[in-house]
Amino acid sequence: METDKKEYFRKTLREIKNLPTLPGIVTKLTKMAEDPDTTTEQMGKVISKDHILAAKLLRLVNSAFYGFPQRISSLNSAIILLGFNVIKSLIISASIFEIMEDQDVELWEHSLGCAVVCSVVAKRLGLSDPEEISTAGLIHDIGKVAIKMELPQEYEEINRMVQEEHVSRFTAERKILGLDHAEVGGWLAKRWNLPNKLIEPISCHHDPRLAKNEQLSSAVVHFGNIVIRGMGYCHGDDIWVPPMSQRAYRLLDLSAVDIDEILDEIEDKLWDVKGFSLEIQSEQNAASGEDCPP
Amino acid sequence: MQQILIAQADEGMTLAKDVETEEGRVLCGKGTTLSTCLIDRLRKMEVTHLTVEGHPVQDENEKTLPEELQAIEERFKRVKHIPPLMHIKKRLQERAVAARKE
Amino acid sequence: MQRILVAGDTILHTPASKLIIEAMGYQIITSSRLQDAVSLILEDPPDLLITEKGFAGGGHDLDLITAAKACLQKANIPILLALNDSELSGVDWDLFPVDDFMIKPVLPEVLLARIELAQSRLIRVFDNNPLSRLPGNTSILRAIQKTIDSEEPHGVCYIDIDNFKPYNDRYGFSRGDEVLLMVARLTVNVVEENARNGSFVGHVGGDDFVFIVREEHIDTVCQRLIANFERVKNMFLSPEDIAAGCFIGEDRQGNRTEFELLSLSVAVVTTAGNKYKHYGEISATASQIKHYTKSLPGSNYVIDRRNP
Repeated sequence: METDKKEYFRKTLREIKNLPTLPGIVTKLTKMAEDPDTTTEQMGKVISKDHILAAKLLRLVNSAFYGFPQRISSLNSAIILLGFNVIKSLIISASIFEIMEDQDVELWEHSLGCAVVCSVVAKRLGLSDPEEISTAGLIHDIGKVAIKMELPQEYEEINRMVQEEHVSRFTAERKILGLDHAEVGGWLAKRWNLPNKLIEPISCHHDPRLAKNEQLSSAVVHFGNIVIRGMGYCHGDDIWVPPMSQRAYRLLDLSAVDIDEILDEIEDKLWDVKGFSLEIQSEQNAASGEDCPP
Repeated sequence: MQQILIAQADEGMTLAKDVETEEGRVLCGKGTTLSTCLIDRLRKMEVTHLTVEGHPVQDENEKTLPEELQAIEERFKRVKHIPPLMHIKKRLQERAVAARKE
Repeated sequence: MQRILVAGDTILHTPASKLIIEAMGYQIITSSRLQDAVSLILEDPPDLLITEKGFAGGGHDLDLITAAKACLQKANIPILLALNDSELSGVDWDLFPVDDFMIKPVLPEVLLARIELAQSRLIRVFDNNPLSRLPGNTSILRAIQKTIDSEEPHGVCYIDIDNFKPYNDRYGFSRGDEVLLMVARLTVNVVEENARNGSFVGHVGGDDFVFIVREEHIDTVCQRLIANFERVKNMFLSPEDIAAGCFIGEDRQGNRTEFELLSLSVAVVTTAGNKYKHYGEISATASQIKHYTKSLPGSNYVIDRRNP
């Protein structure tokens, strides 16, 4: 039975074509797309703050039609290669989607926060591709969105288990579904033809020992996820910082001083996240006709 | 003093710290009283946050210091056996304390 | 002079039709007999054929069209078919390989529009580079000549990818194609987003691209193009080559040489001041600047500001 159930879930999740994003982001981008003075850079800046649109763009640019199979792992490059008109069409197509009832602002902030940490750490380590690792950090939890969308009942059960039994989401997922969001994220990334540079950090962000080729990137995303949760940007009732892989930590080779300075930088950059979050939520409220929250 | 978002800034607040660009250039000095015009200009220069005197912004979700320290403690409850994470926890708690200093 | 063969009596159904088309510079040859029309096609093919259903009377509709299609050098002659709307549903388009149709009676304006559309489509479809789908040589030369004739200052910019051959040798043609597509996209996007009015982007073939922008946009476009290229190129190189800062290959004599990693060279010829009368002159100037630009390390653009 277990195998059948798992297979059923796998199949359902594999069929996913599109994931919904925050209406506030879509509203903002739609406005921008309609303004003739908006540049691609400006839209890129906003898109780089949304994990769903980022995933969409990456998937599009890596699709067969454009001719760069599994080649583009950086969001900025995807934006440059696709160009304004394509992005505009994408935004228009996004706004047609059924908007999910309860907007997952928490997950959105967590994803964006993780991207920030990954960027800071990657630059600190002097890695040659900090932007790509940051992109991986941004979309590392798309598996969660997929589960929520395709298996809403199970998603509720998972939430309940976390709340009542005080287990981690990861544990609850494995118990109820026989798989976890990291694994699902990895499938989606693979299915969407994303480069391995993104696939591995996504699928291995809980257990970086599983990484084969992208050990360092996976370690950074793993660490990024942990740190951002430590700073309070978690998702749902699973508030506990997950264990860190010793091997991954050794790979990062960070000293106590490094950590202090990294925390400094992150805190500074998170203001940008907070500010943006406030802005997006007021866009959302304005769009639905409510007054802005004080 | 309190760190606030530029969106929360209002006329009459006083800067408790210099507002600097990323490169370290001072845009606005400590002690300046904010006007609507000034806030607008800072926003256009992509300033995201500032530190002001007192505690003018009331955030219902804001925790008291003991609450915040407790929350951090709780978060790291399950990784007590991992020294680097305990180090991070300590640092986060120290920063929470430092941020509240008036 | 574009020559149009009109085979059929009812197409140019008012004198105005013929006049309007001739006024646009086309030469119209009419024929009402199948044999004459077919001869014309075989011996002196027109640039465009317009015929009507039932032209040859009783079952020979296709003869003319087949003759046109069989004429190899001009197998791409656009063919327009005029017919009554009552005949429309009976047509098997597989049997009638025409490019467009018109319902009789055909208004002169409609006739003219269809002729022009057919020409435009022809250029678009057959001149496009098969890889990038960008306009090819014919369109490029046309665009350059148009720019010269407009007398407004523009920059005709020639892009060349440095060390593309060694790159192909090292990474294979499939990867080489990806790089070409990448440059094509970058160029189109940068030109469209910064200099859309009066612009043009074409792909000569291989790693040669041409774009035209108004003079005031030259610097912005070239700088942005190069900046974007530099941002994206690492995704098309292996980590080892990136770390080494170069790759080892063979020069044309077969000697082991170090090649710089991918970079772009853009040679810009400005059309200000009526220096040029013919596109050939521009190409010639471009060749000279290109040579110099390619000798500079890394990605560069050089504008020819000399006065002849």
